Amino acid sequence: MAEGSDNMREGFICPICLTDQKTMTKLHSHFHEVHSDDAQITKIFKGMMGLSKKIIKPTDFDDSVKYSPRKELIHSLEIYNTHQELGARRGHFETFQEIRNRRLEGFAAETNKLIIRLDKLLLNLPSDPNRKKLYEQTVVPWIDGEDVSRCPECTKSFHFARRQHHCRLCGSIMCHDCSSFLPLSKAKSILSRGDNGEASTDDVSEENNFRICRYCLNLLESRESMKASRNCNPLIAQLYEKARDFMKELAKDADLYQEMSLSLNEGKSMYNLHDARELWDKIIKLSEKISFLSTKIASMGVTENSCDLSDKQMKLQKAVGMGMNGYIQSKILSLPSLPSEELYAKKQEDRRRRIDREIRKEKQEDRTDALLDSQVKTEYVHSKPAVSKLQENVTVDEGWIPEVGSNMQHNNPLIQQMDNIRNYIKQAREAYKFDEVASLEENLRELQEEYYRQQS
Amino acid sequence: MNLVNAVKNYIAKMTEESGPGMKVLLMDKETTSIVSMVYSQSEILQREVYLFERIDMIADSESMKHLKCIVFLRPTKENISLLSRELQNSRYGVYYIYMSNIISKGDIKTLAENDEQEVVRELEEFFADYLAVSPHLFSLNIPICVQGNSWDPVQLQRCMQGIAAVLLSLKKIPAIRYQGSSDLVRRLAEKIGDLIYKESSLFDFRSDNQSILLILDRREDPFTPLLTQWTYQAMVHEIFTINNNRVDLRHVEGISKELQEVLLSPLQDDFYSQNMFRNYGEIGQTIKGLMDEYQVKSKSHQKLESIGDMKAFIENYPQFKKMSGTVAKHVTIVGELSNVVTKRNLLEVSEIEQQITCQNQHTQQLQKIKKILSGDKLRPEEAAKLVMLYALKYATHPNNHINGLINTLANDNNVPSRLIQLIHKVIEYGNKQAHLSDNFGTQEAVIQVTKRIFKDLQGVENIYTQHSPVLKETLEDLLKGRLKENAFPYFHSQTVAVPRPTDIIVFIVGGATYEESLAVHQLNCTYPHARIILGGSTIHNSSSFLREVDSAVLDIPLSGSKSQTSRNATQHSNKFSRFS
Repeated sequence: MAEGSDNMREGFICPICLTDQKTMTKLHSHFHEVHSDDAQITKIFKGMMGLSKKIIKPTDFDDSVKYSPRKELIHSLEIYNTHQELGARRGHFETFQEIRNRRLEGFAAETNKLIIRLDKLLLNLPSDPNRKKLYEQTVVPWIDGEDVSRCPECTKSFHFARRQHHCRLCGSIMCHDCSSFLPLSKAKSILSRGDNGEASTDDVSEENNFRICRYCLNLLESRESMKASRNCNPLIAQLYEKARDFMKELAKDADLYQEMSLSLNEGKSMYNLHDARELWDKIIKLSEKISFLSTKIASMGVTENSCDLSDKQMKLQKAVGMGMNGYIQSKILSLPSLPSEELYAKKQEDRRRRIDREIRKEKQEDRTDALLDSQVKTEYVHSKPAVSKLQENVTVDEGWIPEVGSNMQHNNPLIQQMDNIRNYIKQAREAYKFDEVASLEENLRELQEEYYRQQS
Repeated sequence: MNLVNAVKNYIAKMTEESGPGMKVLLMDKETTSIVSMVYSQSEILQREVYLFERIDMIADSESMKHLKCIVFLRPTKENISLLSRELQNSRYGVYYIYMSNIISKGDIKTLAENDEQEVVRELEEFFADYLAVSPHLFSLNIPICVQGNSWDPVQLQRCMQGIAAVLLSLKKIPAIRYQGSSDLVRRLAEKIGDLIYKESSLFDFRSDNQSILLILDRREDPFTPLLTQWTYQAMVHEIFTINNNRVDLRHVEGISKELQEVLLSPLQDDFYSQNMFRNYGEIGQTIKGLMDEYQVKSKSHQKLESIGDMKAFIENYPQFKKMSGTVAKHVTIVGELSNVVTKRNLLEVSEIEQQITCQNQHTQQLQKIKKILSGDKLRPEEAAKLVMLYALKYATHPNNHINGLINTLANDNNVPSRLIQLIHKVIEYGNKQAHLSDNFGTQEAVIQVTKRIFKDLQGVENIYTQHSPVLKETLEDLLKGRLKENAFPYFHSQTVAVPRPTDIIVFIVGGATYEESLAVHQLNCTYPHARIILGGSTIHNSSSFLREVDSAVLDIPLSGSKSQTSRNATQHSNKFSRFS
């Protein structure tokens, strides 16, 4: 990659002035305070980060050069930005599996046979070498060596210096050089009898080892490695898993926050400014957690003056760290900031005035129509029970459901319902489910209106 | 039809199918290029791919069972055996295998038998088997596909696979037409037709039947790749060579370390995507505008008059440099382009080149060539190219002065014999067609040429960019339903004619050029219903084209020694470094 220069820096570095801002919060506020007016820079930066796929118009660069519309088209690749569906594909996995299974069934049977024999060998195994040998022969019948003049592995002929040996598991013949040794301790661990490989592996004496052929060794080893890979869950994988969960949460929260701040900046009162602040704090906390994990992953096994990691391990850890930091930056730097209390109040006021104006205008234009409309609206509220809306909003994948409190029974079902909803709102707020809060509050308002209507 | 997105879709799908978790991407040399053309490192990191490995360069045996391995390979014999070895000593937890083209039953069996540890979870064909240079342009990176006027069988197969992959990834079953005058092209058309027939279960999608695959032979238009180029992308390729969207600038004097190799990808560089089709003059203006704007921002009063000033400005403002590495990159490139243009006298050369290709004034042109050759200001390469263009144009002219010019080059201009020999080869390369095209009447060809000249003269915008490639004419005829069937026949088993195609895939055996890519792009903009995609065995500039000519024409009797083999050309640089 082009950017892979030597003096690469990591952390919360401002992409524009390259100062280290130490924390995500600082970086975000720095970015908005110092660079927010510089729309051009933001745009270029976003383009570089691959956030904005939108192509910057040439007029953004240079106002003095004007092009006719047709030429404009010719200078960009925009005309190709149409949806392209996934191309043809053809799977072969079923065929593959069929062939593989046919073959592996044979292996599995053989491996099982070896395991059963190993089990028998270890049971009542005499420690005296001569008796051990005899015992081994009773468990596994040895091939008669009369007619075998050469080692089947290396095809060297047997003589007084190169003697015949037998595999203790399948009984086949080989020379000493072609023999492998399975330590007793390892044999026990294969059968899950504990005693995990403490015997030294250089010890090739017949007492502490089974002499076996390479074929049998391979079968046993591949069984072992499959067993091992099934249980493999190193620290990096665990940390990664954790960080991924945080990232998933962050993505969800960032989307919600985006929506909330947009709505708030327009002066709408669907969400609560205070709630948005809380959510922002939560997002920052999450990103700090992720960044903590990413640093931890990137620096795992590295101490100041020594590094006991392989190149590949280092590369992996670095890439994971980089990927996570990139993720946080891409998620957070694009988030808008919230209006201050006063500004929000002003915006709300503006909006109210604007809406009032519009309503008044509409009313003047068509009084009867408006009347009819409002009737329909009340009817709509009346016919649609608030509870059903609530249930719609709680989806399974969000994983949050308010507990129905042990409320006292109330005579008026409307009041009881309102109490329930107030309770839900409280719970939702505690769980940072501000979209729920918003819709619940909407419900509550509708109920209140209905209640007042009934009372009056 | 968008080739870049077609490839991206496949790769996105690969990373999705293996589910969440850390991933490693195991590729071969070619698939590495295919992926790196469309994905940047930061983009692919966001898809949880953290490691990249080349299957032919596996150095360690360190196992990382907690990683998922996505295998993306071309289905070659070599790759199958390397992958079998990998599966036997599996280093990763699970394997998801994707082949970039059709895989044989035998190869499936080999892989299945080597998966003793049951680590493979998927085996699929994903047809991303070409380099998507831009949404409408693909290349197969075959520097030389013709040896001594006949197909290199390996490359014939590769062309067939590449085109099949384009069709499959875009889900098109086109009618096939080809250049009737060329035997090479006919064989390729037949191979593809047969494949579509044989693999009818694979080519099984609803097709509107308005699509055409048009296969052409570079030898029909040897002019275009020899011309000096003035649009940004084509110019950079002609002067510096673009290889897999990368430009090597190491030879530039005093170049800073980070600019020694730069990435020119329309996907990742907005400035480039906006300006790749603009001409040299416009680029200079655009860059100046950009710099002016920044200058105002930094409240500097330094005046920017020349490209040299601009370079100095950039060096004085490290802030600026960091702020927009992209701009720094383009200023460097444009600065170096302007150096080369002056050093090689390209404006003067180009003017004559354009006159030769677009006008019929033999005597004046000959005088101009003689004059510029006597001036001793040209590099041997430019001098030889001028004579090549002259020779191609006037090979049948009764008063041509080809041999005289060649003698001048050899004696007065010190042009090496290698280049002199190439002139003969280029004539041979271009003429091969003339003999063959006699079969269906040269009359028509003459009309075509005059028509073109007339048209070109009408719309002269710029004396350096008068030339428009033959391809443009051919495609316009095709779009209007006027492309003659005797010159461009349908593949024989195709009975249904497509008089007015909307989707056109053009493939040029012997390489396409960026000038032609621009022409196709202009057609796409001009005709709202046309969707044209251009492909080539490679993307040529004049020097790579001459290497191919060198290999395509072997039998020149007057050259004593056999030309050096083209082997060295095939060792085009390996750009794996991108991901490591």
